[in-house]
Amino acid sequence: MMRWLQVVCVIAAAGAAVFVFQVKYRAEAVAERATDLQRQIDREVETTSLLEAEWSLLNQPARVQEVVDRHTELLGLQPLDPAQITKLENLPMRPSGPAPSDEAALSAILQAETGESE
Amino acid sequence: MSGSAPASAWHHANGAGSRKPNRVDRLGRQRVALAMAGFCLLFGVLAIRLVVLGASGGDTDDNGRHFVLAASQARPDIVDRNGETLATDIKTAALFAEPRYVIDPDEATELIVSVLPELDRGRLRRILSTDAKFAYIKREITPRQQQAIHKLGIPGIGFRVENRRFYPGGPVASHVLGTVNIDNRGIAGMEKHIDEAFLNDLQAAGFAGDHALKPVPVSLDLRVQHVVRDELSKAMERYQAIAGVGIVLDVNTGEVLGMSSVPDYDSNNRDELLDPNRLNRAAVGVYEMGSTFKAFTVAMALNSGIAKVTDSFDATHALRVGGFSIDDFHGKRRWLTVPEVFIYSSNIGAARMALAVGTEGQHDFFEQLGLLDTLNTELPETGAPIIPKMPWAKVTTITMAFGHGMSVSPLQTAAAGAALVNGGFYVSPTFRPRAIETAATLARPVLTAETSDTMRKLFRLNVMKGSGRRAEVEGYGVGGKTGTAEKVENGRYVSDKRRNAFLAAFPMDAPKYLVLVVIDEPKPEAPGRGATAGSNAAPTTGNIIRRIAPMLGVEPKAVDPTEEPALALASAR
Repeated sequence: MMRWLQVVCVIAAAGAAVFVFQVKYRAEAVAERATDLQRQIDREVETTSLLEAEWSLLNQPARVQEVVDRHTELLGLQPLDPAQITKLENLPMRPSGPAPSDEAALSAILQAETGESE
Repeated sequence: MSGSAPASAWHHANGAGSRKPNRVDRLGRQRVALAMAGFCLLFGVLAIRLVVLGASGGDTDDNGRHFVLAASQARPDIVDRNGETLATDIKTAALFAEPRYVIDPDEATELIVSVLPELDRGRLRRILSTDAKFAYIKREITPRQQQAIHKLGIPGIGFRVENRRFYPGGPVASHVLGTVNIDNRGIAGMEKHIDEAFLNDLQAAGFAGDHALKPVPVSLDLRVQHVVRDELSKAMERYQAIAGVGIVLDVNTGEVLGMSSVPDYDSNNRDELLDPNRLNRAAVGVYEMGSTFKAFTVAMALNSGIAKVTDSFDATHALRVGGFSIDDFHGKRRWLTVPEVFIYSSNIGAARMALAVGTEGQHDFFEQLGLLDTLNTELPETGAPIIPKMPWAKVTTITMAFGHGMSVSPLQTAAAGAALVNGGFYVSPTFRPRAIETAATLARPVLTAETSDTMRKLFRLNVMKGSGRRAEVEGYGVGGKTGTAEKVENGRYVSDKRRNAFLAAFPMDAPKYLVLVVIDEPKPEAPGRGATAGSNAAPTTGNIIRRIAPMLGVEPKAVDPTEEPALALASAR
């Protein structure tokens, strides 16, 4: 019985050693990957901030104004006049035309009128 | 084998133990059990330690990366009130050497100079020949240069990643933002303020990591800022002026939405900062503001109760005080009502009002408006006003009534002007966003609501009927006061060199924004035409308002609600 125990212990020890080394290597690989990812994130953040800087450079009012000035004639642009700004409720109602059902009757009247006058 | 050689307990245990257990055998078992318990304990401790390490996350991060990124200090981005980037950090490489590891300084020098021809060969060789641990060779090199040097593979030469400040707008808001030195430390404007307010402390405590800093918002609106600068640049060209100042202020919160002083400098080019012609004339320069001060004098007289808006003042002849003669530019030679004094910009009328209030009253009033003390904003650069020593002579009181004899900064004037139209509260201007509730706690009552209301009408009347006519923008109810100050040269006033100002606010039924424009030494637009404030500062102000009002969401009104009350005031007897 003691002998069996010894055998089991040796096997367990060997198994444990293999397992521990596996875990160790896996941990190293994971750490390396984490570092890699971190580096990649840093790079992406750098790129993002660079692109943001470029975005705001391209959106500078001075630059936009220059572009607009260059294409004013082509696009038929002109500065906004305060008189062009108003609220929706200040606009007059659209004049409503005759309902479709009335249209036939109306044109009949019209025809009759013009016919008579001739 | 059986019992004949009792050499060891081990023998017994192996050979005969299973059949006939004796004392020695029992002892052996106990020892083995003890050893097993010991190992179990040991591995148990290891296992627990492992679990503890696993739970705490462990320090697998490499520390070298942090060293590299922290080489030059990171700064928070600066954004405008709408979140548009005004300043940001971008990464650049700095070339450095560890001279003690450089094997062949001569060869290394030649190789580096082949990529960076602008370097001084002799100096570089000297640096590389030393036994130093670290030396910068060139900072802020381009990615292409970095690549080329990297390919040369010189031992003892390396790169450090550094933060470099970048201002996408270039000069657009340079006087507010300021700039930084090569170590990314603020040396002017908001950049310096940020350092002094918190960044230096954060860095000392080690909390200013690369992405740990939140963007710092400023009160500017990039679009408004651009319009102000653009219109000033155009005005400088049109009137061949030597300088211009434009300020847009929220009258209720004191936030500066736009502040420009041209000529200005590019924040990306810190060398220009030192050019004295590019100084911040809006906050640092102090000037005699001229007739714009009559607005303060009229407000003072009305608020003290000494004059009512229907009162008249004798402007039939020049006022003689202590050997000085105070006269009007275009004298009406009659008694003028308060609105007339305002719109005809009568020196005599303003002088008589100030005399009626008295020197003490004038001093107190100017003090209340913050005109006598240095203005404190976030900007480190600020100009101290030049004020005559108390007690003021009678003639000093008189000249101050129309803006001569004392010099204040345009920003100070704008802040005081806001108090005239916002209902009578002085709010110190700020370059950080400020909520209206915060402003309310900071506000200092200066005028009664009634006086402020009268001032609004007077300002509006002056644009409808007076000198500010060319600032009118249909629908926005603009009101304003001109100021044409002759400049002092060699101790004398010269009549052909002027500093013109226009102090305006809109919409006058409930003012939201104040615009102050100052144009330095404008020439007549065409020969024979005037060069007073009404013909250059006023139209420039009008152009600015026309462009910024839609951006700021001010609604143009088809029927101007400010017109009638202003006219009623003019005809009041």
